[in-house]
Amino acid sequence: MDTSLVMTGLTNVLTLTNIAFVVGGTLLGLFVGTMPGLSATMALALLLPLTFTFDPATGLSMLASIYVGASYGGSIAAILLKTPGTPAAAATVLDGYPLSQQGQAGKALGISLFASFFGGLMSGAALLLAAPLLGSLVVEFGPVELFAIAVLGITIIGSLAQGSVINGLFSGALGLLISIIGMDLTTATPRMTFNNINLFSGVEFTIALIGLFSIPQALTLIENAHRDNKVASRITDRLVPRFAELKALMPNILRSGGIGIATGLIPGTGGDTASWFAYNEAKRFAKDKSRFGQGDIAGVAAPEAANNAVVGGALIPTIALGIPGSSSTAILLGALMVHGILPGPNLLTEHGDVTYTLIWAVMLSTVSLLIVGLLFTKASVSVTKIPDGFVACAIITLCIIGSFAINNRIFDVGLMLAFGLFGYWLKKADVSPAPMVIGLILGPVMENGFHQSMLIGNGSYGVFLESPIAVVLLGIALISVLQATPLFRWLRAPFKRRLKHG
Amino acid sequence: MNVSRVFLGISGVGVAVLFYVNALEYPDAAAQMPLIYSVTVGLLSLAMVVSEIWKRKIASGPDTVGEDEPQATEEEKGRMRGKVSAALVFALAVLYVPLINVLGYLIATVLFMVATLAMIRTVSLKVAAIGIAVLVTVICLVFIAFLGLPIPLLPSFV
Repeated sequence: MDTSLVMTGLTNVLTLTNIAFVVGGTLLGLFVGTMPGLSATMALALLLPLTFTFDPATGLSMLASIYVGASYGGSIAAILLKTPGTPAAAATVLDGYPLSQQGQAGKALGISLFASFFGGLMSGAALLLAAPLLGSLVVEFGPVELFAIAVLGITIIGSLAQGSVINGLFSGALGLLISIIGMDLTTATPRMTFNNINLFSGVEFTIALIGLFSIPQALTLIENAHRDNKVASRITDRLVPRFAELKALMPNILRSGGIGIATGLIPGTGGDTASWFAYNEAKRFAKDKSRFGQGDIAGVAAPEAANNAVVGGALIPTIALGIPGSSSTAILLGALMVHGILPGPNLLTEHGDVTYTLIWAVMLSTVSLLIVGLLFTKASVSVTKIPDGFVACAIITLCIIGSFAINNRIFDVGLMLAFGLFGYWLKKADVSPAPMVIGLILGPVMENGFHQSMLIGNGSYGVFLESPIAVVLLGIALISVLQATPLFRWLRAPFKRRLKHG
Repeated sequence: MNVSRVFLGISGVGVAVLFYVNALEYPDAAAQMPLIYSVTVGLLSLAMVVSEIWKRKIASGPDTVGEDEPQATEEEKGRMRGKVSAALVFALAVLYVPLINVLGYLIATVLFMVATLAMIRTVSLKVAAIGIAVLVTVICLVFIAFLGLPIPLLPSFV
């Protein structure tokens, strides 16, 4: 690990401007997370154009803090409204809402906040230690291995996305296909541009992000706007948990934090998977399992520690390999790209100062979360009173001005709306847009890797079999695809039968 | 059967064919990846359609609406109303974009918000008025004053 880069990242983050943006970002993330129907990804996508004019350290710090803030904010609605603010807070409803019904909303929120804080700190430390280690391993990778990593990234994300594997892979492949639009850099051939000059530079990744993640959410809010709004439970007790309670919960928090980090490491899985996994483990380890679902604080601590730990975990493959672990980290990677930093293993070397700034920003945001959470959790309840219909229309307005701000072109606004409509269609078809966005990011990486590899191999596909690392990575990619096919089930059937009879 | 997914699969095949046919005209180096990607998208789209049809075959059980039918119809009506609202708001958003150049950002945004909120009819007049004022002020401050976005604030004919 290059300590000078680590220190540069730390000093970049610890400026007054950045600290102010981190606190503001955490607060914004907290409010966004609290509102059911809004996600961290949407907030990040909407605010990405703002960071264009910022210094990279400031922009990244703000985005990281929104991500961290929203991860906790989701639990506020889960505990007080019985509606998770974000999908990652769904497991928190099980014990958080019964606690608020018993007049212990403050206690539940306090446990959630401290568990989120410890989970976040753990993941920040893991990110700081593991990303450079993994990065130092992959820094020697050539085009063949980079191509294999990109293939693995897209197949794993596609395979693990919500719904069926076919849908996830379809979404990823579509992203790759869209990534070829624009001028081909090696032959200067315009591809699928329909002679439109605006498409010659390709489809702007941020435009697709805003459209795919924000417009469908706004339209869904409008669809459900006629439903009665739920009334939030009141917070009547103290927010800060007792030391003895926290001490008793510590093994649970540490275990759940570990689960969150490990889950975040796997591209395509996110806070929702981690929080259910941690909840189940907390229940399995509990002495009295019957209290789970009735208002057990362990049932609040586990999912909250896990979903905040996912933040750092998901950033490890993003930073070390250039493969975003989730749609939110894809946006953080997009923020790096906005500043001319391309995804790949050189993130930790050539652009180490900015990358370490992002890592430290996650740590600082976690500390900020504790302070902002203690001060503003009660105030954030009022955000839930804003009518969904208004929020939806405001999101559309922000999407339009935000997409215009990227290149000052009306064409981009039209493109964003088209992506928005397509995202809405994907939502109706229950197909995740995350692999598509990741396909858009990894498309150029994959194409460059492929062309360079073919040059090395004198046009022979055999070049991909000459590198043992590439063979292993491509083998895993193949297995991740095959495991969804009937062939795999047919191959597994005899083993299953033997297990049953044995 | 998820009809949206079936149509998505069919459209996917169409898109894949379009990209494939176009890629055949490119030089070899430029055509390689589009050809690989379009074949992949085409195959996955087909797989998506086939799996939906297969699922429908398996799940062809008896219809069990029975006594809950009136309630289901009411719910269905609400859902339909929501979908129509969403479609109309999206159409208004499409109209709003060219209006910015004609009426200026301020008037176009206020008109868009008023029209959409009036259509949704779930926001009170007071909340809508305060909300629109706050939203327009924040956008003007952040995007126009702070970021210096070159967007016309007032009508072009003023």
